[in-house]
Amino acid sequence: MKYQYSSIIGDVVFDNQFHVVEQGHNLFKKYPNLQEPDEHHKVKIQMAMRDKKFFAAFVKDNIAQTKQDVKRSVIPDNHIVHAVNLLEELDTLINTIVKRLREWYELWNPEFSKSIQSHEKFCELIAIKKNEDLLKEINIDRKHSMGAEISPKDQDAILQLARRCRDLYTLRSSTQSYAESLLQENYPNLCTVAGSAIAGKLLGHAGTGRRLVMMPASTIQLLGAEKALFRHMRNKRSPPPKYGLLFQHPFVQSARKSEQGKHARALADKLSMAVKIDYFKGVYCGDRLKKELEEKFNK
Amino acid sequence: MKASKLQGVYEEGRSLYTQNLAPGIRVYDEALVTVKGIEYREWNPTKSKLAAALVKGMPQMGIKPGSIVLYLGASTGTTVSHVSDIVGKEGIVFALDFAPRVVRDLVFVAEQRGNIAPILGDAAQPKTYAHRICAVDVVYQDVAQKDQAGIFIKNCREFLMPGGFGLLAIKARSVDIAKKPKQIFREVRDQLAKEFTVVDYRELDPLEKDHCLFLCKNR
Repeated sequence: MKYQYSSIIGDVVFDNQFHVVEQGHNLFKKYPNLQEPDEHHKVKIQMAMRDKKFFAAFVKDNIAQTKQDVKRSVIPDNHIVHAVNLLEELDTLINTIVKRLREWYELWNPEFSKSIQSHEKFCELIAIKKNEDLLKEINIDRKHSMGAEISPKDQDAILQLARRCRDLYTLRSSTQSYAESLLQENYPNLCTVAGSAIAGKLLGHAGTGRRLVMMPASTIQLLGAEKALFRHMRNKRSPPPKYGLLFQHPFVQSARKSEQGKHARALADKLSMAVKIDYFKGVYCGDRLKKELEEKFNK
Repeated sequence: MKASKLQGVYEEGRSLYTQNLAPGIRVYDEALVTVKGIEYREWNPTKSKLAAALVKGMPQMGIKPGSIVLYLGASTGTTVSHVSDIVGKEGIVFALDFAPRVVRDLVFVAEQRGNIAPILGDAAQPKTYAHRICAVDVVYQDVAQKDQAGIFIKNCREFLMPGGFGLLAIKARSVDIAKKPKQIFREVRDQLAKEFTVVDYRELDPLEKDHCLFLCKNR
C-alpha cells in the first residue's frame, strides 16, 4: 500500500512505513492504487519531510509561492487607505510650508499677504502675478509699503516656494477626487451614510474593508477613540468615550450635547449595515438608511 | 568576542551577537563587528524579545545550529534573521506572518539568506500551511492576538517533534487590557502546563513592557 501527499515542493509518494519512495512533479499517475493519508498519518508524513535534501526546495518554493500571495493580496482598499492617509499628511505638510512662505513673503510685501485670507488663493496669485500688479490691486503705493526692497535672487527663491505650494494644492485636490471616486465605486452605501471624508477615515483606521465588515457597530462607534476607551477600561473613574471619528459627522455635530452619544450610536449602527452591504455586493440602499436615521430623531 | 553558553550565540561585554550568515548585509540597523575575519551581527534586546529573554537570564532556548524552526509572527524578519544566523546553513526557519505588508520585507530577507522559507498565512489555521512545512524542532511564537496560548498549543500539537521546544512570547496587553499582566502570565502558564513541561519563563520588563517569554518542552 502506498500513500500520496501533495506538498509545496511537489508530489511525494510514501510506502506503508511512511518512508519516502519518490519525490518530484506529476508522480501520482506512475503509481496505481495510491491512497490518501488520513489524519493520524499526517504526523508521520510531517516527520518524513524533515529530510535535509528537501530544505533547499522548501526555501525556494515557499519564496516563490509567498511572492505570488503577496502580489495577489493587493486590493482596491489598499489604494483607498493610501490616498486617505496621503490627504491627511498633505494637509499638515501644506500648512507648515505655507506658514513659512507667508512669513518669508511678508518681508517683501506684507500688505498683500495680510489682505488675503485663503492660503490656496494666496499661493496661486503670487505665483502667477507680478508684485507691482498685486500692490496695485490693493491700492498701495510701493513707496508707502512696509515691504523691503529685495534682490531678484531672493524674489526668485520665494516665488519658487510659492509655485511648489500651488502644485501641492493641485495634488491635494486631485488626490481627493481620486479617493472619492474609488470610495463611490467600492463603498457607495457607506459613502452616502457617512460622507466620503469619514468613510475614508473609517477605512483607513480599520486597514481594510474586510476588517471593517468584521467589526460590530459598537466598535465602529468608537473607532478613533481607542485611547479614551482603554483608559476607561483600565480605570473606571475615567468616563467611557461616546464617539471617535464619528464625532465629525454632521448628524452627530448637529445634535444637542446631551444627545450626541445617542446619535453616534444610531449612526454607527447604520454604518455597520452599509459597509456590510457594500462588501458583499448588495443592492444600493444608502438613501433609505440615511432617511431612516434622520426620521428616528425627527419625531 | 567569545562563545556564550548557548550554541550559536556570542557575547562581548554585555551585548549578544550572532554570526552573520550573509556577510556584509544588515537586516535592520544593527551593528556589524568583524573579529578574526568572521562577521558578527549585534542582537539588540530592545528590538527582539528572544534576545531580551536571554539578557534576562533564560538558561536555554532550544534553537541551535541545524535546528528546524517554525516561527509564527515573523514580521519584517528582525528576530528571524538572528534565528537564521543560529541555525545556519544546515537548518531551516519557516517564517510565517499574516500581514502582506511585512511579509514583503521578509521575502527580501529570505532571499539574502537561503535558509528562511517565508509564508503568508494565519497562524490560527495550521491546516492552511501544513503542506508548506515539515515537523519542527522548535516552535517560536510572537503574535499579538487574543488567544495567543491557544494558537501556540494548536501549532505545537500539529508540528512539534516529541522532545522539541516551544517558545511563546505573550503580550499581556493583547490578551486583556483590563487585567493585571502578572495574572495573565499565571493563567497562560497553567494552560501550557497541561500540555507541556514549562522549563522557564521570563518577564521582559524593562526591555519590553508587559511581555513574557515561556520556554516549554514537548512531552
